[in-house]
Amino acid sequence: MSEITIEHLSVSFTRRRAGAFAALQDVSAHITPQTFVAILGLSGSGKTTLLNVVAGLLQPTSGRVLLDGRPITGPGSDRGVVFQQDALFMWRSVVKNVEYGLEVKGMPRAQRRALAEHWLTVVGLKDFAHFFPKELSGGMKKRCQLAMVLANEPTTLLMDEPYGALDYVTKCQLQDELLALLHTTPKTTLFVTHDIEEALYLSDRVLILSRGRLIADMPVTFDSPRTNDLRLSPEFAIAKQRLWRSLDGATQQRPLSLTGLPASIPEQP
Amino acid sequence: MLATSRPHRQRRALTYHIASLVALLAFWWLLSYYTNSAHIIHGASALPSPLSVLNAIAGLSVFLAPGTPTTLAHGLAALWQNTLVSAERLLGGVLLGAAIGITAGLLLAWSKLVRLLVQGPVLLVRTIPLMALVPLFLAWWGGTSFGILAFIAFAVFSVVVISTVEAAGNVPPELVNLARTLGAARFRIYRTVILPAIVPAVIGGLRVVIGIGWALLLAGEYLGAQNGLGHVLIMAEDYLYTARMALIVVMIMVYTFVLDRLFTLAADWITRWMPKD
Amino acid sequence: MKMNTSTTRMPPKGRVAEHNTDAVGAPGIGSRLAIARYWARAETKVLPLVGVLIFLGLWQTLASVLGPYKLPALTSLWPQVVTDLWKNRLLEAQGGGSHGLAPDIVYTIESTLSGGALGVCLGLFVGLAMGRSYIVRGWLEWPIQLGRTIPPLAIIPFLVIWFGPARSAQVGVVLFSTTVVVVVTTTAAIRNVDPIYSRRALTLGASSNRIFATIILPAIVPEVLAGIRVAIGLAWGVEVVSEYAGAPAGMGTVFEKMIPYEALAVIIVAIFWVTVMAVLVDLLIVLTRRRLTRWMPRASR
Repeated sequence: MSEITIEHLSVSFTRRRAGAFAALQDVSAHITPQTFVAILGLSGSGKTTLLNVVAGLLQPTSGRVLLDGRPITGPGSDRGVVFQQDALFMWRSVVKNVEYGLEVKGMPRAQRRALAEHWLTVVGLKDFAHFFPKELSGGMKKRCQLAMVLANEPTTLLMDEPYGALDYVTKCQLQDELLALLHTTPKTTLFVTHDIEEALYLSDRVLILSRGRLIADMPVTFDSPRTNDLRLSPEFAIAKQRLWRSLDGATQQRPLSLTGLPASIPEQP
Repeated sequence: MLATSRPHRQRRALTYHIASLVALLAFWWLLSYYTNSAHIIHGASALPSPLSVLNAIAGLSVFLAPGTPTTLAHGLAALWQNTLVSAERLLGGVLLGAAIGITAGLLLAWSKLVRLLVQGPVLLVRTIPLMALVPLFLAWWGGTSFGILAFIAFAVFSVVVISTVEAAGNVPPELVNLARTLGAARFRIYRTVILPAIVPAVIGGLRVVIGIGWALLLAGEYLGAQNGLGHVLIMAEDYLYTARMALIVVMIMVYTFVLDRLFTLAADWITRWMPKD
Repeated sequence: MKMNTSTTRMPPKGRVAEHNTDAVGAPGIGSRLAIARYWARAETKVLPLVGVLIFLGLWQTLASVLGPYKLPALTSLWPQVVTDLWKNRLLEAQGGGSHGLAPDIVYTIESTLSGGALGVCLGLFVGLAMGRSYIVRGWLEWPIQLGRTIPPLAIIPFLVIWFGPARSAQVGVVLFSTTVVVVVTTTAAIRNVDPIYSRRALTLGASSNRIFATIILPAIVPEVLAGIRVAIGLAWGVEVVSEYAGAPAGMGTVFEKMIPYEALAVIIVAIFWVTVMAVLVDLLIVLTRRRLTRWMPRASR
C-alpha cells in the first residue's frame, strides 16, 4: 500500500561556524497510496532533505515520518531512490548494476539475471545490458538507475531531481516514460524538482517548500494520460503562472498571500 | 603548446624521436671509441662500446658455478638466473606490500578511532626517506632475500596504505547511499562499493612505487645481497668490468620498460570501466 | 560521541529520535551541541597524540624483548641523538673521525642540496625548452624516457670510475635523478594546462611568447613545485645510498661502517637526522609553494 505520513518534521544541521541551521521546520503532510507528489522549491529550500528523511538516509531532529503507520528507521528496499547524481556502480556492467539489489536479497544468479533483463527491456536498455555506464548517454544512465530501483519492486519511489541535468527533449521523453511506467505499475512517488513545468506535468499534487517550511499544497487535476500537447495548453500555462507566483513570493520574503489562487489547479476542459 | 597538433608536426616529431635515438647510439659509440684509446684503467675501457656490452654476456658465466666454461649460453643462463632472483624479490615485495597495504587501509577507513590512533605513527614513519631505511632492514635481516623483499614490501605498503585511506574517503557518498537504499548492509557496502571504487587510486599509488621499484631493489641488493642483478653490478664494479656494468644497466632499463608496459596494460584492463576524462 | 550531531547515524531500532523538540534556538541545546563540537575537534588532536604514545610504548616493550642489537630501547637511544652528533667511540674506531656524526651530516646536506639545486635548474631549463619548442621536445622526449628507466643507483659505479669516489660522484647521481623527475613533471604540467586559457589570451591578441610567459609559466607553478618536492625527497635517499660507494664522508658511510657491528643505535640516530633534514627542506618547499599559489582555491593547493 505505502502511505506516507509526515508529522511535524524538523531537521537541523550543525555547521562548523554558523551553528545550527534549520533545513526543515515543522513540515506535516499526508500522502495517500499511489499518488504522485511533486516537491517543488528553489535550491536550499529543504526538498532534498525531506526526501532523504523519507529514504531513511537522514535522521529527523524532531517529528517523525511513518510509512504505512510504521516509523522509518533507516533505508530499505521498500523505498527505491533515484538520485540526482549519476549514481551507478561504474565498475559493473549495466545488467550487473540492475542485479545489485537482487544480489543483496540473495536471489539465485539465473533468476536475477532474467529479472534484470526484464526491467532493462521495460526501460529500453535491453541492447546495452553489457555496456559499462561510461558508455551510456545522460538519459540512458537515468533509465539504468530507474531499472536498478524498479527491479527491487519497491512500493514507494523517491526521485531527487533526476532529470535536472538533461536536455529538454530527453527530459520530456523520460517524463512520458515515467508516467507510462507508473500507469502499469502504480507506486507512491515523491518527486523532488525545481522545474515548475516538470512538477505540474507529472504530479497529482504539488508541495511547495521554502526555507524549510511547507508553504503551499495544491492538487493537480489534469486528465491522464498526459501528452506533450498539455504542455502547450492555456490551462497549463495558467497553472504554471500560479506556481511561479507562489515560488516568487517565497523568494521575496513577503508573506505569501494565497488569495486569488484557487485551492486546486483546474482540470483541462 | 597551443593545442595545435597538426598531422605534419606529429610526423616530424616521430622523425626527431628516431633521429635522437640514432644520434644517442652514434654518440655513445664514437665516444667509447676515443675514450678506449685514451683512457684504459686496468685493461677496462672507461666507456665500453655497445658491441663490447653485448660481448659481456658470455663473461657472466662465472656467476653460474666456479669453473663453468665462458660461453654465450652459460652467460645467458647466468643472466636469467640472477634476473629471476631479482624479479622474485621485486614482485614478491610488491604483492606482499600491496596486500597488507590495502587490507590495513580498508581497516583504517572502517574505524575512525583506529584511523586517528594510527595517523601519528604512520606520518612519523612516512617522513623517513625510504632509501635511508635500507640499513635498518639490512641490520635486521642481513643481506638475505627476505630482507630485501621486506624492504620493498614496506615501501609499497607505505604508499598503498595512504592512497587506500584517501580513496576510501573520496568514494562518492551517493554510491554508498544508493547501496544503502537498495538494502545493502555495512560489510556488503565495503565489499561491493568501497573496494571496487578505490581500485584506480590504489593502482595509481602502485604505479608510483613500481616506477622506483628497480631503484629500491638495487638499493637493497647494492648493500649486501649475495646474488641478483645488483650483486652482479657491484662485483663488476669491484673488478672494473665496465662492459659488464653497462650490460646490467641496459638489462635493468629493458626490465623497467617491460614491467611498466605490462603494468599499464593490466591496469588499463582492470580499470576499463573508468571514463577517460 | 553522545550527541546527535552526526546526521547519518540511525536512532535505535523502533524508536525515532524523540529527543529535543524543534532544535534550533531551544535553550540548552546550544550548549550541548557546543560540547559535542568541542569534542569532535579535540578528538582529532588528542587521539593521534595517544597513538604516537602507544607506538613509542610498543617500541620500548619490543626493545626489551629483542635486545639492543635488534631494537635499541628508546630510553638509551634518546641521549645518543644529541651526543652522537659530536662524538661516537665506535665510529671513531672505524675511521669515522673524532667529531661524531656532525661532519657526515654536513657532507650529506651539502651534496644533496647542491646536486638537487643543479638538478632542479637543469630540469626546469630542459622541461621548459621542451614545452616551448616542439623541435626540442622531438629530440629529447625519447632520451628522457630512456633516462627514466635507469635507476640512479645503477650509474653510481660509472660516475665513481669517471670522476672518482669523492663529492662529484654523489652530486652527479643526485643531479641525474632530480633532473629526470623535474623534466618529466614540468612537461606533464605544461601538457595539463587547460587550453581554454591560451585561447582566451589568443582572442585578446597575445603573441605565443607572451602566452608562454604570462599563462603557461604561472599555471604550471603548483604542479612543478610538487614535482620538485618529490625529486628532493627522493634525493636524500639516493645521496645516502650513493655514499656507500666509497664516499669520503656522509651518512651513507656511517651506515656502511656501523652495519657490520650491528650498531643499530647509531644507525637509527643517523636515520633520525637524515629525516630531520629532509623534513626541514620539505617544509621550506611547502612554504614556498603556499606563498606562490595563494591565488588557488584552498582545496586544490
